[in-house]
Amino acid sequence: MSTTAIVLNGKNGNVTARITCPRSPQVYLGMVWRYNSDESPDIKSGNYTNDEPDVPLGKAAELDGKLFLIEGVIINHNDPLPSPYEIEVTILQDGRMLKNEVPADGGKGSLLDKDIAFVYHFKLSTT
Amino acid sequence: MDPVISLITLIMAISLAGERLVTLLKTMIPWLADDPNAQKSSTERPEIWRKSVVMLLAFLSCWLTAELVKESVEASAKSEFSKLPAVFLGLLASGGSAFWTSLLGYTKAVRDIKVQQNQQEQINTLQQKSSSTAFQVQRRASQVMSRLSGLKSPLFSDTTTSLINRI
Repeated sequence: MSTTAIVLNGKNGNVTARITCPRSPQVYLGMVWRYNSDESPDIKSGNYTNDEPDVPLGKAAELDGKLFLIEGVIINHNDPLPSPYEIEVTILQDGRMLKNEVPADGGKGSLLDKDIAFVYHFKLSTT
Repeated sequence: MDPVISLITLIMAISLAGERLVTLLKTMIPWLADDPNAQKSSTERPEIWRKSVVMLLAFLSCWLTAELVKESVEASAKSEFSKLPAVFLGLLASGGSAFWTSLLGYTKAVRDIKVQQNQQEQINTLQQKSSSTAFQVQRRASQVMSRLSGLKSPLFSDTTTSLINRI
């Protein structure tokens, strides 16, 4: 498991996680969980779908040292042929992109007749 | 080609050829030709005879044409209709090429409608399948969201395998 470290620009502004699948029209959904720096559960930040890909994470000042887990599932269409997908996670602060990455664990591949899961771990810190 | 359309096309061709023969005979024998300027009643005996002879000639011409083409038609066509007796084909063809042209057009229109109906049925089937798949995907998405929402916070070190097992 790898955790991506993301540094916020100051302590102002709202931070948002955006989960998209820009290159293929897949149906996906999932949850974003927030943890304390010792990995103890904090709160459920929210859920997302392919129709509503944004999850507000909170104000930058509150997020220093917080860990996040993005869980997601891509729903299969029972296709006989493999359908490619690539999930992108984008972290934004006041609409400005801080990080854009494909989750290493299940974020890219081919969908067949079974649902596929992906997870993305990241840690936020302020300057 | 549809066997019925093949038969109608054959009869139409025999009819056209038969009409040419009748025209030739009318040219050679002026009595057979109808004078458009003459004021004749269709009930007069000579006119009845003339028309009867023309109809008989039309039938004989078509029969002769059918006899001439039958051998080659039997060799090329594989439908049962091509094995009809030449006298029968001649009798049908003597009805006139205009009638058979109209019938051919009507038959082709019916065939086109059938083709369109088949295509529409295929499109409907695909649409039903597509909407059924879309419905199943949405239902599955709702199930997954419901399960994820009902779960407690997982471990931060959660993996994809663990996530799939939980849903």
